[in-house]
Amino acid sequence: MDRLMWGILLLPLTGFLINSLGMRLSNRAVSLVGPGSVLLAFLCAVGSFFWLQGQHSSARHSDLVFWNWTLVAGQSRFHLDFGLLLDPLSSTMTLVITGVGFLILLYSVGYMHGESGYRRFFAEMDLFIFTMLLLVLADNYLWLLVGWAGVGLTSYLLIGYYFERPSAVAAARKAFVMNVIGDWGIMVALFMMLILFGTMNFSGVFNQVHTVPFDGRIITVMGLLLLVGAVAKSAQIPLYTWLPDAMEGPTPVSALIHAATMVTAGVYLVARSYPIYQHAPKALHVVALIGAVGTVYAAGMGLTSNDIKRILAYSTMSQIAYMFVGVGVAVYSAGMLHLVEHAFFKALLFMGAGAVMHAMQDELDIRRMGGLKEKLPFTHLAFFVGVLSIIGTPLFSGFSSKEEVIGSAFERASHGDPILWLVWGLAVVTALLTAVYMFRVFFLVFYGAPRDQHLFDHAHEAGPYMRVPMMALMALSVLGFFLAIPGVYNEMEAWLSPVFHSGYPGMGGPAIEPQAFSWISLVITLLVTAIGVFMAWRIYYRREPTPERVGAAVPGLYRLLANRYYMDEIYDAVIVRPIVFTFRLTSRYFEADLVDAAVDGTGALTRVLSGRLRRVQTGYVRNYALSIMFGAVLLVGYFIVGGR
Amino acid sequence: MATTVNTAGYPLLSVILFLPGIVALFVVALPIFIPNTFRNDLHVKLLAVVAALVDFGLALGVLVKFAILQNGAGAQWVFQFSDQRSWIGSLGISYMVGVDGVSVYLVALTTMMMAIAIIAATFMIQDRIKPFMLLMLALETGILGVFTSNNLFLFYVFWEAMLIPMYFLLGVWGEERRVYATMKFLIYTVFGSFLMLVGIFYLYVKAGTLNMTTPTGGGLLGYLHSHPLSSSEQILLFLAFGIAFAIKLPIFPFHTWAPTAYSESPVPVLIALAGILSKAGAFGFIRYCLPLFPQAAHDLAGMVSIFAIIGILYAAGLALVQTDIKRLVAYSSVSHMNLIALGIFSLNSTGLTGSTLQMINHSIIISGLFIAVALITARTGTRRLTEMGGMGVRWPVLMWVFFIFVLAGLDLPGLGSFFGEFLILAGVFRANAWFASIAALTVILAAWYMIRFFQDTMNGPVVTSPQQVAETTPDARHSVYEFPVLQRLVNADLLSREMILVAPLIVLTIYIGIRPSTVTSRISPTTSSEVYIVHHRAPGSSTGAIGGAR
Repeated sequence: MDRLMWGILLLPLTGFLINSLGMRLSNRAVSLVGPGSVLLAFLCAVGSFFWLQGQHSSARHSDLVFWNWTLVAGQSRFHLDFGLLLDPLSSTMTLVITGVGFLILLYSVGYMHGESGYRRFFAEMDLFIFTMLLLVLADNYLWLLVGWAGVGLTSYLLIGYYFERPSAVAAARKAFVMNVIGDWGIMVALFMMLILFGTMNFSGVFNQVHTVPFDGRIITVMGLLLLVGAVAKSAQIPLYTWLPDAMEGPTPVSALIHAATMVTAGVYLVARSYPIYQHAPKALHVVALIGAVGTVYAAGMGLTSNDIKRILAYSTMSQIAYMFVGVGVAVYSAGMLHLVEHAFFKALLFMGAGAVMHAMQDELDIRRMGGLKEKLPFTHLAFFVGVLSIIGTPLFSGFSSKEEVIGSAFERASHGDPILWLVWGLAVVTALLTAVYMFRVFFLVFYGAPRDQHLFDHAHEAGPYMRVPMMALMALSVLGFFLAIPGVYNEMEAWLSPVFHSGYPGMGGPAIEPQAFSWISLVITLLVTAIGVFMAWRIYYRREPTPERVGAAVPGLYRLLANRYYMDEIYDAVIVRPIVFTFRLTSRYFEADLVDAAVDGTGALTRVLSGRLRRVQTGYVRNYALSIMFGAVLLVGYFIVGGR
Repeated sequence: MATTVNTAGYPLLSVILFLPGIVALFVVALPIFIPNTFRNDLHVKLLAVVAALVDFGLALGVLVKFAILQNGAGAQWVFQFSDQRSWIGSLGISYMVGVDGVSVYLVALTTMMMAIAIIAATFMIQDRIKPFMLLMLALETGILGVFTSNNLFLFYVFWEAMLIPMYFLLGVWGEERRVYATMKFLIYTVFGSFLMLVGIFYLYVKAGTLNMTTPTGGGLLGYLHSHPLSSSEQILLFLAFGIAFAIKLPIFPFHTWAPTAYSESPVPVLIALAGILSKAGAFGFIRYCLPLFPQAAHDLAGMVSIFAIIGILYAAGLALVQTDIKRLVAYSSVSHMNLIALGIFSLNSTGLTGSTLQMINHSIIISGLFIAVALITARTGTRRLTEMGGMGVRWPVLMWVFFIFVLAGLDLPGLGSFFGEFLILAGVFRANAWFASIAALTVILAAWYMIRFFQDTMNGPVVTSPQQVAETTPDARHSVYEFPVLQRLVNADLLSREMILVAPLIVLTIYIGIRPSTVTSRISPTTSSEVYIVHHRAPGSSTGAIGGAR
């Protein structure tokens, strides 16, 4: 068991070390080590999953403490036990990370073929998998933070993979700095834990959460600080603007890091910290509201964007917002279920987009595509499965998880939490928008007449390295449906229940799973989704009314959405520029003219005063050495004569 | 109160202390008796490198042999490897050296960094190498004296002694504005030293001894324990000592000498100046200001902390807008040093231990960054960010080496510097949650300016600097490695001799990231006992703005 856990964590690290230090490795060796190490880690993850399954539900965890750090001995002891924690929650995450990660790395072997920096790509991807696994396997918040910052670092490196390209460099910088804002939040939350509970281990913290007042200021602040980290990593309002830009990275990077795994770490953090949030219902409401607003907000941008990867990025933001709604209404298993299923279909969608780009000579603009169904039948099918999943069609994976999330919000709202009506309403509206914008992409790319004949003529289907992982993900996107069927059974909830019902003392807050199942919410959501599909079909397939006319009907809204609510410009004008401007002024005037001038003035004064000495001594150094001596002698004299 | 353990059979610490200085004297004196020795620069270089390495080896031996004492919460402040001899007997001044858990690291760090600096000098300094090496060795003895002396008078002697070689190193081998920079450095430090001298005299007149502690529990600490100074005396003395230390550290607003001096120094001098000398200020606070004037430390902690917080954010902000990469690193250094000061004035052992750990980390990072700056300017002939770009395409190994230092510089969780920063801020949070939360904002600014620094030099489209275009030939007269583009370097990625400089630093920063507890296990017994002294000698210890918590 221990060996399996070590294997999960250390195999990708080994892959990274081999690929990064092996300067003379051939591309063939690199493509063997890169995905191979992750495949082995996946096998370990599967092994440990079955080990967990074999345990009695109350004993389904393994905390492997292997490092005792006593950073400060004595009175204010600062002691940390570091270990790896395997429980159903972290096991689920390791399966997703290594499983989907392996498929994406396999896809990369085909996709990145012939790129310069091939070895660097796989080294960085392996490092990413390692840090992400560290994040989910840590049994304490400090290591979680180490992994957290590690995925931020690797995300930075991979966004800036094409580091000669200024736009990629700028995108990488933006992503890194915004993520560090989140690190700040987590760090301050950790200081609070350290003061209040004297530990940062999950079990230690959760067992003592009840010692602070329920729903009090302290626990609410702690929850909100953790949320700052979650929001920054998961690209939610207000720290989301880095995610669309992050699409500058190669498509497999977008699929793995900016869709399937890293960006969902915020959801994992909230789910993992559920005893804190159960104790702070106000903070939990904030999670739900940020999620609910985020779903619509991101979908709006997805409606008007013309860049195929950016549309998928907005949809990622929107879907993660759904996960936030799920954990925000305290149905943590629903959020996690959506996390898993989203990993399947979103990775598939990105792979499809990558295959389209591959065929279209890296073209991203959907206005130059069209009619590709004929040229790319396989990609068309894969993309279609992905679209059906994301909009929540029955028998596809997104259906069960999305219904769980929306249904839970409905249940909570109808059982005495009226603010959640707003959350439910926004989530339902987004179901419609999702159907519209996803079918918009689908129709514009694969149907209609080719809009760029040259690109169209040269389009060709991707090779087997890219197709096999897509097939696997198509299968998963369908099979994911059977993880839970709303109202019938929920495998995910049962599997995770040892985590979310582990009985930490004094657990307050909303009940962790909803009591009932509501057909009303399900029917409304399905209906709304169908309307969305119909609208997309009318506008983008039949072109009656044409998309241009729809846009022209609401020109103000269209401009707002097409310019991404002007948020990039606002942040730039309100935060970035003022900071740089202030410090530039400070550097120019305050530092140079006030602080420094005062010192230089003292210097000038000293020079004047020591003018007499200068006649005797010329060099600066000796000059001042003499003044030290002179002063010292005077002082000695003073103390000997006057001090006694 | 203070016991001595681990006395070696021979005065190991004194050997470490005086070895470099004696080697320097030897090189000066030998040609007087045997003409024509040390005419060859190579011999001097070789001797200096060997001396520095031997010294480092001995210091490492002290570090390994240093006993980790788990003495709990007691007030035991233990000095190890002590060596005491009578010196100026009539004045009660004795020669007394020893190391505690803080200074044992600073001694090891000094010898390591000086060895790296001297190795760097063998190929970075072309002009008048012999006097340069001698001054570096003399400087090493001076710095080691500051960290090991256990007598205030001896401390002051070394404190002044280490500045003299520094003046010459900066004034002779510096860059264009070296005279201005040296003068500024001089005014500041002389001003500080002068006040400290006054304080030392006052203490001497009052207590009649300048030994910090004696094995029997006497010395200054013992005296001040039984005859506490009045509150106003403490504050005045604290300021007299503290300003000297604040300047060296440098705490805002005493920092302006640093960017100027740093940007004019050649890299070997910088490793000593930014890497080690700045730690002497922090060390002074920990060793002298806190235990000698505990009441004043309590009363002034809030004020000093506020200045330090301003310094952290102010210097980080200025680093963000610098266009000269050497000044950029200089401001980042100031920002980090202010964080160390903040940790010290948390007045609890978490913060103090963090500050000590961060001193080690900061030394590694700042030396690494300044070396990287030197490697970059040697290849591009410029220090202006606007004249750089895309260097990673040409020199990938240099890029990754530089990147590791950049990550350490922005305190990436998982690297050594993160644990220092985390402990500091955790300690400060214990004392004042707002201070810590605001100071922690520096991680955002640090990420911003460090990534900007990295990307503008290494990423983006390839920019060829005017100097590279002009293909300037090395200017023989110019003493500095940096400004002329060295043609043989333009097409070379990291050379092996350059790798020798950075490799130990990289290994160390990763090692501390993996096992910070190995380092802190020696530090924390000392800081705990100091904190005990601070809190139990200070009447009304909860009156300070930041005091009370432990």
